[in-house]
Amino acid sequence: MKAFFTIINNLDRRIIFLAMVVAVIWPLVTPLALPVQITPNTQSSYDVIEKLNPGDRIILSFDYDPASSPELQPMAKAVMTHCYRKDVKMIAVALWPQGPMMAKKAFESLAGEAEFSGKKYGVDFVNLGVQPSYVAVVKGMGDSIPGVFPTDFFGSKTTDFAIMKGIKNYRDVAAIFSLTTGSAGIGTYVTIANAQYKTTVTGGCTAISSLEYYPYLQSKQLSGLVEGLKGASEYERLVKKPGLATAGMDVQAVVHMMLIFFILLANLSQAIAGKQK
Amino acid sequence: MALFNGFLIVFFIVLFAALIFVGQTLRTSQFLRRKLPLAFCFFMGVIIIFQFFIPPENPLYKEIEDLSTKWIQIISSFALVIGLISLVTMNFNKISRKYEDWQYAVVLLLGFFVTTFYGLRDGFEGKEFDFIFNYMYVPMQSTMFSILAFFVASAAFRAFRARSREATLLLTAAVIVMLGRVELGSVLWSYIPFIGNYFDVSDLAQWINKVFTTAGQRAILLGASLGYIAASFKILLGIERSYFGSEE
Repeated sequence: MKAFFTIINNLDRRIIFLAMVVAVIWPLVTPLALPVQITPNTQSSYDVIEKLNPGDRIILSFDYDPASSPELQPMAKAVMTHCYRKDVKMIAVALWPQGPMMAKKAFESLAGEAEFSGKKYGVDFVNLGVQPSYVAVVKGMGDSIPGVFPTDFFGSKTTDFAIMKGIKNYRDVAAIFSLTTGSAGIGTYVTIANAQYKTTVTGGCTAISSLEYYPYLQSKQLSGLVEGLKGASEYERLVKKPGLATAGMDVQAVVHMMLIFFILLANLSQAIAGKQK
Repeated sequence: MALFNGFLIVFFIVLFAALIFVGQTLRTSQFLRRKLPLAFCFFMGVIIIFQFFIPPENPLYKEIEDLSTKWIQIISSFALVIGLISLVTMNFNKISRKYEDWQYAVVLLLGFFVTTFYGLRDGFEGKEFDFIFNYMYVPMQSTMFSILAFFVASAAFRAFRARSREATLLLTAAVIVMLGRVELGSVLWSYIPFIGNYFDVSDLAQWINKVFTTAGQRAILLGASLGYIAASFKILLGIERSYFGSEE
């Protein structure tokens, strides 16, 4: 027994890596089809969009880069699907330099689907790109959105787009949905757009940063939060369109279980080996 | 587009030359080097703070906001240019002096110049730029992030031990939150006798997050904000001058 736990205590980390590989690949090959329970935070975020009227316009802020795309890109697609179906117009902006490209990828991916083939750039959605200094950008949009983004991501004049007609500042948009991975994003919109301009702010973020926004949820400054891949899978379920997040949750479930198993095994081996010493 | 890009390149070359000239002048004048930047910093800082005490309906609010927003964006753009110059010169030095792992600097500069070339030539809609972003940048960044899962697993196995009361609490909370974050956790939890039927592990995880973690987060948020205010005052009053550079 002692020999076994000594081996466990000195387990080569490559064995752990190998176990992780199996834990990642196995659920992708054989989906577990686990039930998805909707958490209140995701439901609140969904409700913000659900309550909008056709023709309402929202700011969809892409505040992440490809590193966070496994979690946030499926989330973005689920939110965009919801907006398309509700005929809510999307004004995509970004506080991260790589954000506009992530928006472009997401719009292009949905444009390939038959359901949304009729959606037009400049009418149903627009990609305004990124401007430096995120605090100044969020603050500046409170005064003039076309002033901060005079052209879209591809160089066309912002005010020429049908979607931008009558849009001046936050008062002309129904809500802000920020997809956030770091400091620029939900926190900035809450402290400026919500606190100073009373605009409804909701959003989604990586699981690791979600707890950062809980104080804003409790103070009702943030109307709902889609948290990580789990939140994205819940949103996919709410829009009845399972995608990458739902598939990814199977992997996450098995990996979490494996981590717990390894932690318990390590503690058990330490306790037993320690006692025998 | 090509003509515009050409003008842009010429503009930046002239700008860099002007920056070098200004830099040389600043080095020799104590007034320009110390007193004027301090005065600017104080003046601008006070104006920005003052804005928060003016009602948004007041025209002065809009004036200050317009001015500050535009200037912050202009200065940020210059900071980006300085960052790019620093990146290129640093890596050129690394290559020319054959520092350790200089080969990586070659790859970095190659990637930088190729991406910049296609970006300036075709804009964001170019095929080559799209290819670089979608098939090189995205997979590489996603891979770097994904590798974390393997290191976290290995680190958790080695370091997550119940060595003390505090460590045991942390371990228990972590296991509950990990179980609560996935549906499989709820399924397995329901098989635990007695407590499995009483409540769901995801509710328990939510409770931990909402009560304990949020309390901690709020304390950090308040503490950091107070610290931020104190640090800002030190900068405005010229007590903290490290942003002038190492000579200060």
